[in-house]
Amino acid sequence: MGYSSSLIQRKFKDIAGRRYDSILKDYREFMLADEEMFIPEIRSILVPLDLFVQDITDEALDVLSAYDATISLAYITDTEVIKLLEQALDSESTKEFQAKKEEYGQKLLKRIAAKLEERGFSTQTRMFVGHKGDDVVRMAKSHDMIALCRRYADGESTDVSVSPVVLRICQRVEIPALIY
Amino acid sequence: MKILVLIDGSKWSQKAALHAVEMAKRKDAEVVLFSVLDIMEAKAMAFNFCTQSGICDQLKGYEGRIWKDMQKSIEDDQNSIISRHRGEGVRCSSKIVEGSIREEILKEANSGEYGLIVMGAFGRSGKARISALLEQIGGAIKPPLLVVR
Repeated sequence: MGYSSSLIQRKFKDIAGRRYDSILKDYREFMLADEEMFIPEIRSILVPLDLFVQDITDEALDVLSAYDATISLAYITDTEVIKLLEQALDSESTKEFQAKKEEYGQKLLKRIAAKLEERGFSTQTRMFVGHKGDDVVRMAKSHDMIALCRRYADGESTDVSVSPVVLRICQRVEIPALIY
Repeated sequence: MKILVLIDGSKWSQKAALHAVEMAKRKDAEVVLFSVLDIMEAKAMAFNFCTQSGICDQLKGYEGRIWKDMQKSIEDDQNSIISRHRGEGVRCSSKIVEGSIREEILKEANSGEYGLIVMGAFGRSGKARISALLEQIGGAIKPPLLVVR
């Protein structure tokens, strides 16, 4: 008998009896089954970046260094911002804004990738215009872990809460999330 | 490095312990299983149960029983986790405190002793929504926070 089964049987010994299998089935959201007692291999880690993420902290890198994983850095510009600018400004100004954002994104990607490689990580980088929540959740499906800055997609707020987008991503992804 | 694992008795916190032990093996770290018992939780459970069951005259008795059960249950959970990982070469200890869950977790997590905090993505209410605890403490915890599922 596995660890989980024995724990569950001990706790339910008075009321479960022969109904153990049916209880395990009906209450699987609350009981850890033996087949869930494993840690998937972490081979790729997604790290979304945007204007509000300046760096990956040394503490976070120390944690990530435990895995022999490739770090995928993704700089995302919010598609809604571009749409809004297209409506409010002329096409030339929007292009200028986008070019400046891309230049900033490229510099940030280059700087963070260099820092990671210096510490022995292998990295991949990409930059695109998209949705900071939905696209990250979609990309997370092809990674084993995600590392999110508390301020990602948040703005310049000075309070100590986690960005609502980070919380929503944590709720929707099926992989472990490191919040730094 | 020391790793603090938040244990609330849910299956998700048991998974958090698995991740923490795995990390500890890789980083030669020490794992501390940490639980907070809040008497208000026992009061709420006793009140809701007794009022719904029409046994309000037994409220105080139920509160005492629930409180004792909560203490025993979390001790059992922590001991089970420690037993499971005994022999894996990971130093693992337990710590149970009483008080406000948010305040006690922040006090421990931000004590400067820990390089990583690990918690489950969901609580004892199941997968219906992200752990309310994450919303309460996520932004105020200084070390990196690993949220597992």
